[in-house]
Amino acid sequence: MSRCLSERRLLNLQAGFGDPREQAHAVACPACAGRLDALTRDLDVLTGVLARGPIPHTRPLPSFRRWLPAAAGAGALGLAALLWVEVAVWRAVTYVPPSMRPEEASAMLTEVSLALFSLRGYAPVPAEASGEPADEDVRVCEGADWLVTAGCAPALLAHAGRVRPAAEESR
Amino acid sequence: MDPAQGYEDAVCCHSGRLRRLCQLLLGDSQEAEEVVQEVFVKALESERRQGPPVDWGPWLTRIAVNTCRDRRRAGWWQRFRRWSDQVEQVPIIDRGLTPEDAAISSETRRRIWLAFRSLPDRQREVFVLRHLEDWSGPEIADALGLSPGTVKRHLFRAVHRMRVVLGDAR
Repeated sequence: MSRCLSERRLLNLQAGFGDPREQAHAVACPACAGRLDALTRDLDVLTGVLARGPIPHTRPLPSFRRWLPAAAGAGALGLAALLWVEVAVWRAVTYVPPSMRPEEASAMLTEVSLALFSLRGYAPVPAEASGEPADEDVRVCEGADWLVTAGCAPALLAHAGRVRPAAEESR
Repeated sequence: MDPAQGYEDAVCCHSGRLRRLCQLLLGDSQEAEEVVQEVFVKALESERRQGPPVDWGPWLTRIAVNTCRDRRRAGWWQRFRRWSDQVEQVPIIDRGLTPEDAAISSETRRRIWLAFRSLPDRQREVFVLRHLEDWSGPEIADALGLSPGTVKRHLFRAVHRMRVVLGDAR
């Protein structure tokens, strides 16, 4: 069994805590004496560095790097809050008109156009409603009906002598 | 030191040593200066109340170590050290550059200092008193009010950690 001193006992010996028997062993045993010398050399280096200085700078972290994670987190939270307001709150309080089908929209626009551009105050009666058969060649185009009635282009109306000047009509 | 010596002699004899000790424990020369002033104010008040101590050296050292510990425990001190974690470029002991010192690279010195700064307070105090103030283990135990076993344990852990850093740096 080895009677050599452990590192802890060597350090205690070096610090003045060792007993005479350990001290005698450290002197007599070449291995322990060598380890004690190595310990003393290391401690000399350490104390020399600490005592002599100058103490080298440790690089402090720039302050903006410390704030970077917090700023990124705050930005992400803000973005999430904006999205939530847009999706959950804003759409809930905003009136969205019901969407119309294309044929309904077309019919509504046609009615609006007829009402706007009717010169006699009423919409033209469809041909089938009058009880007479529809004639493709002779169309009933009153005034600006050519705007909304297919086949009532101004050129055709002028050719047929059906378009009267606007001044005469107003009279 | 002769106990009969008065307060002024104690200031002259111990101010430099205490400043160095506080600078090692706090890592800041201005703070160390303030702590030394505080230590001597406390010593003066105590001397007027109870008379001079038997031995000024250990008594002043104990006050200095406790004052440094109080300052480190203060909340503002921790915040200050965390936000300005830098060590000063001030020589602690003005002595010539030995060949051994010259052989040590700046990287090794930096590692040793970082390891020293990362030691727990008690380990740092025991290490400084033992290896920079050349106090014996029983003297440290008496000055810090610790048992010899506690001083041994702190000292072993501190030295072991510092030697590991030194071995890695070599």
